Amino acid sequence: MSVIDDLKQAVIRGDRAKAKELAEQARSEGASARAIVVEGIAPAMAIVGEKFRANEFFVPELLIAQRAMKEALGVLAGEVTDHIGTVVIGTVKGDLHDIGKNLVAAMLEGAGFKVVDLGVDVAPDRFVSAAQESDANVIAMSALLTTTMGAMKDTVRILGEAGMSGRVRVMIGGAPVTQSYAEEIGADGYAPDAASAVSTAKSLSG
Amino acid sequence: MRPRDIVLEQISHRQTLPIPFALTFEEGVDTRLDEYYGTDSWREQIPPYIVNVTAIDPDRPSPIDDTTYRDAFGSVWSIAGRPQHLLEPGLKSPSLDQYDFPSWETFVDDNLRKQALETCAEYSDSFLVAGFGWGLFERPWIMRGFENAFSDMVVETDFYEELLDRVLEMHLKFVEVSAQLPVDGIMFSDDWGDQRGVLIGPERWRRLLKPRLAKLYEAVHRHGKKTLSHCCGNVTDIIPDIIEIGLDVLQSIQPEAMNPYELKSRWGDKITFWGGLGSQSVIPFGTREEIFEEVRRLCEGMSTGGGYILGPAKALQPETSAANAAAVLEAFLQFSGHPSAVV
Repeated sequence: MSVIDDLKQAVIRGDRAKAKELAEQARSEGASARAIVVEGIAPAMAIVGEKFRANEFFVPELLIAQRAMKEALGVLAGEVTDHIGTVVIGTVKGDLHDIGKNLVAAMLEGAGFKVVDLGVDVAPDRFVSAAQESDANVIAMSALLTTTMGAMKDTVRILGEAGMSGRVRVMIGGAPVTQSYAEEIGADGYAPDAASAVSTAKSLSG
Repeated sequence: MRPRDIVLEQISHRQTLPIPFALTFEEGVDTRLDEYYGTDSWREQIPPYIVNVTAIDPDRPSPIDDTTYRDAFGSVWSIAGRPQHLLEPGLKSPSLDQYDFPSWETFVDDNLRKQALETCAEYSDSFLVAGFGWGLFERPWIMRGFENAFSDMVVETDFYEELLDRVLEMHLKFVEVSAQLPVDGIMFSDDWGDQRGVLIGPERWRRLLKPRLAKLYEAVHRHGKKTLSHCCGNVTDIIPDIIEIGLDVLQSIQPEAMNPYELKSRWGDKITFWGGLGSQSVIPFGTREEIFEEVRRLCEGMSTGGGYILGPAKALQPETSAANAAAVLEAFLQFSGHPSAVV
């Protein structure tokens, strides 16, 4: 097996020390940052996502894979420039829950997206201005409270008022969020979990 | 029959009319109902079926400033927003070697115990329940941080099990303290599920939590008390296990995560379900008609053969409008068989 194949396996099983070591070894042997992502990290996280959807992996496995992925990506810091899209992500205004949002951000990064993570308690206009600044394809919003879901509708509205609706698509998720809520507020997509979020983001980035 | 007896009948899988219910409110919802009705006399129409007491302060908070505090595990919390938010875990590395584990006595509060005894005397016709906050699964993550604890259980499993055992030891003492109160049941609170399923997966839950929870439930039963547990999310996969280790009542039953009627048909004769009205759906977002219809369905479908206590999946949250809170109250009274004219 090649070093990049070994790196892929290390990320899948969440071995952060090995993932870092193998990313460094791959770089020192001349592998490009792009190859490491496209042949190693991204397929690893896609497999992690499939296993999560198939109920073989659960939140603990997702978390350790994410940590291993970040170690490997850290070795390539700044070298990966050709992303498959840019996603601005955050938890909405009034809401501090971030574990699910962090998992989605990690899965998106692992899949090859540039991720602009605004953190938590993010105001609707901040999502829109960040999307403008980063030339994003997608805004991804998370909410865990029924109280705070309404902020998602405000973001969709402000995006429309800024004339950006066609260019920037909106996807939403979080425990109380549903497909029908997404349709109700005019969001472009909904994902029930971190694994599905990647395929939704890919389809929305065209 | 006294409210207490009606609850006990349901827990013993004997159907009752009226159906017992619990309806509690978070910040401000009840005062909004006072304004809505123009009087607070609606409160007297809710029979005190289940009354909660405690002798334990689960956090022992030391304030840092107006919006932050440190708990007795050394974890720092913010109460600036809802819910309280863990800013910094107290147990920073996966080892108990350098950590000053607080003793169980730290959390026993004599004032709370005195208050609990007074409440038990005042509500002696109610089904009295003692609780102590964070559950066995939750304490490791409030001590280590959620992501650390979840990683620990995979990559530092020996440490994680050692930590669970220390928490179990503490919780067994809390059971002993709580069982000294003249209560009918001891209620745990432990969120094992997310919207999709068991957070850590059923196999890992069975390996790490099941045998330890069994010890807690055995301890409660040894004192002749019933076991109750709040649990959010979808735990369908482990309900047979929960029944096996002796949980008498499972509370919350979020219909957005689990199908209450499926649970009833599969296990309704083996465990009592408490809850079932959707806090993420019909309560905040439904019309009055939708709320009435859901409550009617629950009362008709869940109480056959006993084993049911009506309730919202969570206490009515602050975003619940007065009109919807009133709809929940009125529907509860009407369909559970209580005099239903409110004021």
